[in-house]
Amino acid sequence: MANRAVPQRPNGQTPGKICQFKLVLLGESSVGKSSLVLRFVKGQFHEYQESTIGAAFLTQTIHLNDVAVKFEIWDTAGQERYHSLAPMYYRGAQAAIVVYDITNQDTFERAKNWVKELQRQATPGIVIALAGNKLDLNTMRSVQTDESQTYAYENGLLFMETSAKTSANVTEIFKAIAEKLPKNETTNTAGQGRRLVESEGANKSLSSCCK
Amino acid sequence: MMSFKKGNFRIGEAELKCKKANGCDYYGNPQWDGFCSKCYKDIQRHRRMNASPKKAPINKTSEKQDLKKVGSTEKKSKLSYLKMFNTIKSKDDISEKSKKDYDPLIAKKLDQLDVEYMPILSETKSLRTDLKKQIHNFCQMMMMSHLQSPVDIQSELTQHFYQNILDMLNNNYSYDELSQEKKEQILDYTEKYSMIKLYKFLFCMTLADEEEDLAIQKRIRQLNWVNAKHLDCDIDKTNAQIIELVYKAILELLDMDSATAPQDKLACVVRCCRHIFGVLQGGNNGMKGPASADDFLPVLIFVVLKANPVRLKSNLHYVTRFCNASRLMSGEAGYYFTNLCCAVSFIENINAELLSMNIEEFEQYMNGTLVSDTWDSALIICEGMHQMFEQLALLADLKRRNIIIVDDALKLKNEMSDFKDSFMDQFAVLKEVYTIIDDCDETNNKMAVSIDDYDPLCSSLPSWTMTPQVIQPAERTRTSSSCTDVDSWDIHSAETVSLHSLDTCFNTPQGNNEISGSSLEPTINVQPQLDEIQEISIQGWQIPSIPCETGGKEITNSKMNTQ
Repeated sequence: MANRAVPQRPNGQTPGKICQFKLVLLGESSVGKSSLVLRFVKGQFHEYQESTIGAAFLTQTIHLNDVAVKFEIWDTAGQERYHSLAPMYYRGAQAAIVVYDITNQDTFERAKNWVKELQRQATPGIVIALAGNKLDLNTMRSVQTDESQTYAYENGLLFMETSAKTSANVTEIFKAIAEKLPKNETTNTAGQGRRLVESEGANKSLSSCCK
Repeated sequence: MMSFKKGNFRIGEAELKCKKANGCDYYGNPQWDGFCSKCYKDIQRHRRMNASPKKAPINKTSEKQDLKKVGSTEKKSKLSYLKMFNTIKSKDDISEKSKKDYDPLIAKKLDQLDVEYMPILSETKSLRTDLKKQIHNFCQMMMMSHLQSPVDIQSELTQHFYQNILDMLNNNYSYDELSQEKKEQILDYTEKYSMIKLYKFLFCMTLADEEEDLAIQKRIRQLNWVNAKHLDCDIDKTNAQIIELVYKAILELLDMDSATAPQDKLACVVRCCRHIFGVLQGGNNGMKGPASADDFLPVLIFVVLKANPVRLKSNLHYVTRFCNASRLMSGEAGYYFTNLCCAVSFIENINAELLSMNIEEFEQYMNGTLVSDTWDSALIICEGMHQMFEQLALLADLKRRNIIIVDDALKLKNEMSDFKDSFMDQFAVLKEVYTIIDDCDETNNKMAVSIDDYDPLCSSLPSWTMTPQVIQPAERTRTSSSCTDVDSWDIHSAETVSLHSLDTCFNTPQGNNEISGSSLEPTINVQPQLDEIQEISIQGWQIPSIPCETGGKEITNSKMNTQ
């Protein structure tokens, strides 16, 4: 019986606790939201998951000590015209990455708006990370690191400058989010969204129940 | 707990004891009106007997009125109400209703579901019965309440029910062995089963839903001029493969209405969205990389606009309300469903600004003064056209199959006529043979008659004509070749006999003559005459055996001789 219940984890990590979190990606279009997440997901598996025909919805699991943190990443349409639809996406999300392009000051301003909106409307206690993407284009930078750093600090955000192209800081930012997310209590703040599947002994399955 | 309900009972003296006036020592139960089980049974019996004349007419009236009637007369006589409630509502009404509402299609779907999930359900002993019981209770409750309670409450009840099942699976000791995946599947089954069962009651249940459906449909019709360019979609109109994928996505979206279980509806949405990703990736070639939400949402909006699915809002509401909430908040299906909701919301709020065009132009399009280009015009009538093409294809298929059937029918007809011909040929041959046999029969008959004729002359031999009946049954087949036993002439022996009888045909006249000749003087010498016949004809062979079989006859013969 115990054998049968052994969870089938794709990366073969030792079973511990699995926490599943919904992470929503926000940011102007063309700042590289999907590249960032593709790098994060691809980098670890070297291939797309079976269902990865698009980069709009992806899942990735990372391991912190004995805890497996499974991110369910929801991409959002960044165009201004779809801005009003965003609440539908971040409803019930436990984490958000607001992405901007370090070569484009406008995208940083948009990012600030997103942060404001999230803090006002999203799930209380949502972990927000600010990602300044396209670090590989450092020479064309128009948003200074200090500026963003200060903004992030003032608003209690995680902040990193990333590059989807060179994969700099990509995994790191997700790891930082995973560390900041509460993993002990059942994060039921959203009322519905969360899924926290805990193992209750060696002979119980741990794999997450979401498809 | 019971004491709180005290006010509901007329006799409220003993709060926990049985309410029977004579003082029954047992504890009562609110379910049994505060009686103990035994007293309640008695009282029920009484009520049933008293109320039986009333029951008949009520049963005949329509069910819904019935319920209301029952409700209004409630205060007048609580006893009869309870009786009616128990007998009519819970048994007749619901079961009749459920029978009526479970058309064979639903029953079939449920059966299929049972078969599909059988391996999981039968894994743990009590699981199946437990689950069935829970589902049944839930469905009964929902059916009873679907007219009275508002949608939100029903939705809440449903979510609560899912949670209960999950708790049961997680906390019940006997289900510890089940893995998480299996529990998920069991939940899946529960959801599907109860929702298919309750679909009629829960789908598009309010007038508001219907109005919203019509509103969005009208809105989408007004927006039929919106094309890919307006939405900044990246659709390659020249690629047949991509156009095919767009059509497929549209079809999947249209299919959503025909699915019953929330999961099945979600599955349609997921398939639709996967086709859209196919479109974005440039068909099967996958020329482009994985598409992001920036590209995806506009195409989804485009597809929704071009599909204009029926009862779109009702479908969305139904899934939102009655699908397991966790399914919608996470997972791929949840993501796509959220996107669909977003698309619909966008369509509802679409304006000139959102399409980045000036207001005049937008108004002109909305008025129908401006029209869009050819492919977009084609897509405008896509909604109808595509279905028409589908049906044409279906008709073509039917036609093809019809031709096959007609061909087969012709073949069958030919085969049948061939068979008939060959049968007739065979029959003709057989008939010929039988005519010959018949002829022989006739001649044999003549001979038999001649023997019979012979009998009355031999008045001294009364047993002579009875000879065939005296012979043992085993012997009869052998003797059937005898002309004297015409009755036993059967087909089995006919073939073997026919040759002989042909012989006898030649011989009989002689034999006949001999017999008739000898019959003239029967008293002189019977024995040698019989021997003579045996030598001449085959049918005569058995005649000497007669004395052997019937000893009595020999005596009579010898008596005859002496005479």
